[in-house]
Amino acid sequence: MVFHSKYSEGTFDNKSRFYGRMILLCFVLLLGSFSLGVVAQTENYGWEKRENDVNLNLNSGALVDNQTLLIVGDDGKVMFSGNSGYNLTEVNIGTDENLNDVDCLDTVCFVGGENGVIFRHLDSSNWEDISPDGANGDINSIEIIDAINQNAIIVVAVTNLGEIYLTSDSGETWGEINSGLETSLNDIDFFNQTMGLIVGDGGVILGSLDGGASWELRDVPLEVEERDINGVVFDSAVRAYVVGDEGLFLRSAIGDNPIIGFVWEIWDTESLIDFNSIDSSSVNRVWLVGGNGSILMTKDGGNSFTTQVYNTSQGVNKLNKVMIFNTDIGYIIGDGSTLLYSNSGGEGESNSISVKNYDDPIVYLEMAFPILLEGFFGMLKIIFFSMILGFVLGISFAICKTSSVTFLKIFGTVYTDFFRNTPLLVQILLIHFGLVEVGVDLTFGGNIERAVMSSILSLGVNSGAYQAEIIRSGILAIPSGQMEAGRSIGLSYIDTMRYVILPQAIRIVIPPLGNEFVNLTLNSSLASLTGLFELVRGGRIIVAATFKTFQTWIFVALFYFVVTFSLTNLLRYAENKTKIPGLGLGGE
Amino acid sequence: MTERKGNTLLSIKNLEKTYQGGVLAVKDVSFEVKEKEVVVIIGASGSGKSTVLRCVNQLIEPSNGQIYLGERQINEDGVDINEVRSDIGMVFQSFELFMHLTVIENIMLGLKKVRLFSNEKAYEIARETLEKVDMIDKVDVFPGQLSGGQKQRVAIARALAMSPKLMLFDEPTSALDPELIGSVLQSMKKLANEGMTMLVVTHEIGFAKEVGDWIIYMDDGEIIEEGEPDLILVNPKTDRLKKFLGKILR
Repeated sequence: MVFHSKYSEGTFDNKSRFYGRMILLCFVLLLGSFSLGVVAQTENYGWEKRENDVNLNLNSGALVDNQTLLIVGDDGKVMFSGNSGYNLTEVNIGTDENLNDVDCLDTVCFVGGENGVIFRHLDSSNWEDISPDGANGDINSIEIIDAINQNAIIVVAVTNLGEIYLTSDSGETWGEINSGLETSLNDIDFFNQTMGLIVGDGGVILGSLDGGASWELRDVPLEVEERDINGVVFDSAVRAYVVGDEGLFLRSAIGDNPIIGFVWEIWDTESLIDFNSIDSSSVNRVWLVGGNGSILMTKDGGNSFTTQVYNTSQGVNKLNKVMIFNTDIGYIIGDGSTLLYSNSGGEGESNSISVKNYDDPIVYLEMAFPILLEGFFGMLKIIFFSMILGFVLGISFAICKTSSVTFLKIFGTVYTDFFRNTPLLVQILLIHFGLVEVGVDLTFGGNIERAVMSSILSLGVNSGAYQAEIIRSGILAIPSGQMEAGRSIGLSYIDTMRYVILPQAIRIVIPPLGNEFVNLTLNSSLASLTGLFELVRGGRIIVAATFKTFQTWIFVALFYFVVTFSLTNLLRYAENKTKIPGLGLGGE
Repeated sequence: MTERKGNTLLSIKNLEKTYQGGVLAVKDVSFEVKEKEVVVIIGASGSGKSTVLRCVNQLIEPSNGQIYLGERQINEDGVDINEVRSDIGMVFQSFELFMHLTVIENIMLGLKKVRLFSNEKAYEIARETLEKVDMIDKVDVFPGQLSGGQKQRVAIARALAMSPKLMLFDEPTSALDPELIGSVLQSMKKLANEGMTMLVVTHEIGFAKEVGDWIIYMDDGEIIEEGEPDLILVNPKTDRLKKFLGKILR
């Protein structure tokens, strides 16, 4: 008696090896898909991270002598940065207090921090403690208004207790100006030597027209009165902006007084971010930074914003200060030693004015290939999941259509007839744009991009209808005696389907199923309509940027060919591997 | 009519089957199969004998009449037909082996999915059964690689492995080349000798005479004559059976 014949080992081994390979392949595809499955939030428009090993929250910065960046942070940290945020060198100014703000004029700098500490650095001298007597509050902001000479620099500083300190002798003596307020004052900005603004909690905006000697409360819209204002920019004679918590953004308007800063209007940022700082490079180009690593930019004075979210490996950090110099040099400073730099005015390469020569194939490919690759993976993800969905639906509805239960028959027929007799394009539009309107949430609470979900769904149900017909024909090709034989040994209808009919039917229909998979792959190009990032959309982006229409679409076509060609071969391989002597159209 | 000994295993009473379109295939058929008996149904094509056989395990639903397996009526509501079928083995004219499964897998499927035996136990039973039908050397061959006679013996083994109380044979040799018939009949004889209760529809008068305990002759959906093979096949009473035998034995 031969327990394991040679034949036995052959067939069982090959079978399990084949299934193993298929499962592995599915797994790899799945992994590839999941890495791209989440809503993409990080999109860098032109801010580059500058790595450092400070590990402290950085709070503010200023330019020394118009070139060197001076950064202040928690625990008395003061640092000079070399070229564009690289090479930080630390300076000990003699305090451990958290430093909140710094302002410099040429080589003169003033730093303010918690518990009322103020330090100064005059020409070639060391850092000196010039804290005002009796100042208890934390200095939140400090601003150099004017400098007549080294010994007559006018500086104003504000605290979290509503105090305003002013010096006109470079900090030798400080005078306190009674603001009549006890709320925290958060930021100061002066347009020139006379006109300035201070903002604070509780919707406070104070204005001065005499170089900071006196301040008066300005009117704000009623709904702003309870809200905290954190930043102000007053760089232009015609426009000032302030920002605050929960997406607050106000713009000065022209009122009866020709001087701005008396009338404020709320502008919608469509954001609930707590904004901490604001800066502008011209009347209409403004940057806002705040919590959750958010950077908002507007080029039209707040009518529209582009949002960039800056993620660190440690998570999302609070951004504390944005500074823009000379139109396009920018720094952003934030918690967790965040230091961002931009030399393109905070805009991405594609928006910048530099012209690339896409006639050079290397320049073209450098731009196009990553986009094509991303589109390629986007497409793979879609077709992988739609194939699975389509196959599951196909089998289910094929069983419905071949069953003897009238209801199931009608149900299956309605489904296949509907999806095979209406254009796929219409189905995509219906599912992507239509379902939202009737209240179907395809994002599963925002976890999956809607375009991805609706593409998978529409391609899946469409392909499911065709696959149902294909599998049905396979089931009908199996002699009815097989069902009788299965039932005669006591298997139920479903078990007979599962163990006897379907394994044979599926083997028979592998070639037409392969055609359907190829169709599905090619049809996935229509999913670009949903805004999904796949090959066609990638191609359009490349064409828009390079104007290389012909070669771009050739490349896109090549990528499709790679997928369909591999798919065809894979299915041919599957067909050979699952071939059984005497079964199906191949014969014995 | 001669008295038959033994307990009644299968009892069919007033069976009728009308197909869709009003074709009356079986008219008021009643007969019994005793334990360990081999009952052979003979008759011309279209005489309704296969329909009767298929009504027994309800691959065809009877229009009228009662079918009892032992004491239990098996064609009424509330009977788990899958369980009943697992006790009634069936062998088809066209074998109906599962083409995608090897010989041993064909036999193991029912043991595993219906009897819920473990893989090892199912394998063991399947091998024992294959030995009985002399197919042990084809364990891992696909049905497509077997001859007709071999296929039919595997089909017998598939039914037999479930340890049925009753086995139905629906013209088991009709699709075979003449030289292959012998081996299948041999297996069936062996089964009969071991005491398996069998209901056989066949054209093999020789087999009926040799192995059959009771012969039923059907024509036009009715039982025309029944009796012990020695009597009925040697001295048929009715003209119709005489004519039929004359044609077949020519």
